[in-house]
Amino acid sequence: MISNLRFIVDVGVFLVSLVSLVSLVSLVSHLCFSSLLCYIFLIFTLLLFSSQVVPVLEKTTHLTFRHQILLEASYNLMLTSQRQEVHCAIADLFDSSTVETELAVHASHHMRAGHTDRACSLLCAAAVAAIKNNEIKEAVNMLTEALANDENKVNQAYYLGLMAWESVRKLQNDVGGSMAMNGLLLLAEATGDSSLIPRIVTQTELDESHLEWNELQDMPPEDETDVSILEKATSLCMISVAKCIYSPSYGHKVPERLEREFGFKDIAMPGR
Amino acid sequence: MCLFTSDVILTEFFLCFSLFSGGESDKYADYLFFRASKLAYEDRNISFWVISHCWVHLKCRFMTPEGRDFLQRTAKRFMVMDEDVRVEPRLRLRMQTSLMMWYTPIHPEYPKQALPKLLELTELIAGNQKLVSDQAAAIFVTALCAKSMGNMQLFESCTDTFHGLRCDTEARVCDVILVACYRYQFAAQYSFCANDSNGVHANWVEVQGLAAKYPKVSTQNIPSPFVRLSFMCWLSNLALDDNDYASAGGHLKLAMNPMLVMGVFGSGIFVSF
Repeated sequence: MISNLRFIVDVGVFLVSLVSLVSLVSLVSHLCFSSLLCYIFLIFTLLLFSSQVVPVLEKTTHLTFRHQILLEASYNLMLTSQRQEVHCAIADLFDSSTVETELAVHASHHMRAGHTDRACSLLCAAAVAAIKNNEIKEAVNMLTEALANDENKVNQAYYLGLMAWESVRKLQNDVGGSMAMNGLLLLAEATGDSSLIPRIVTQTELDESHLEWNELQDMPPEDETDVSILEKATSLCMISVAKCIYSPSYGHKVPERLEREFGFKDIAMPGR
Repeated sequence: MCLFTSDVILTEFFLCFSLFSGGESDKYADYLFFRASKLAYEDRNISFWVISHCWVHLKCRFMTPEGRDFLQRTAKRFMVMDEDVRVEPRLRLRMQTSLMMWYTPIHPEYPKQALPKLLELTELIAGNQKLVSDQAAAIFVTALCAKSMGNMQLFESCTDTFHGLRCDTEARVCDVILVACYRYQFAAQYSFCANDSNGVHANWVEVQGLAAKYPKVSTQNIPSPFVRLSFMCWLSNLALDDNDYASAGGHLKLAMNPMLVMGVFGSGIFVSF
């Protein structure tokens, strides 16, 4: 009860402070300031004084609102265009900063500032880093957001490939396989390369690819190479589809689709 | 009681159910694998390179001479990968678990040779809650090897290791289910060895309840074909002990379902219960 009362008082104090501040800043900005960063700085200074914004313990350079409601209240007091400007300023600050910033946070500011391309590439980089750390849930959320916002088909295929790879690794063949097949079709559409569309391969094609694979060293060399997103997306989608064909008992959808849409005739789906 | 029977029996088994096609879809999957792993090689993506090789063993390759050559080549490649410092312990563990599954039919001595390495790698990732599903798979394979070699002390010690496994509180549901399946399957196997019929039945009830416990996840693979087949074999054995031929026949009929057989034997492992 006491803590609830204290919270209501806190919110009240905060709102009064914020309204006074906004009036003050409007007045001052009309007089001499036009810089958005000064505006943000003043707001945060006041919020810090009223203890509504607190430093993030692990990262001294980051601040966070003490409560989600405070964040939402302050956020909703601004117009969409104002919010976009603020996010844009923060994103630019992060871009030029020498201090390492969390990729997902950086991406969210770019996304809200309307810089979709930059935001998606940052989200993808954050997702790849998360996958390396085995934080799959976070990675999938980031890739889903990137997929919803990116209009580039090759990039979309890459996001689908990454999610498909993680799904089939956990034996979720139906989910992962569908994503991978869609990824391959997107790649074929974007590049005009019909060889990416599932098809019956000839023995010669198979032998050639086997020979090339056989000639590779047992471990990739240590030098750095620059492989395009297109190639990364292709490899992820291809191996995920292959896994679904290798183990049909963990999901029938890919084999069924191959049979229905692409004319494969000998699909082994025992028990069907 | 042995873990891996001769591949001759397996060949008969597969021919019996016409599970080995080697046709269009198999060729397409191989073609995709070769192209994808070549791209991973060019990308210098170690994780992708290693894991893609762990997948290609499926589809009963050990049954043809060309397939055996291919598996020998892949196994040699794994040995080189295992010695490379760029390969993380979790990937090396994945490789060892995978090798146990498909290399044994062509190299029966392998479990005995590789068991110390498997134990060492499992120890290396122990405690990392994000890798608990890899750890569970490795412990399960260790238990199978121990049982097949008659090392019951090691087999029993796997019980404690399984008890110590804890999933991350924010782990994905599919990970939690995988670990639960391994745990129940191992517990049932232990009960079966101890002639504890109630233990096997209790664990089967738990496994069957998983789909209802996690309704948001596709129930098609819960429990996995391997788990289902194992339980069917144990339950039919127990029913025979009680002279309940009708139940035994019912379980065996389910166990001999080609869908289950494909899921388990396609990987190259044959577990004799």
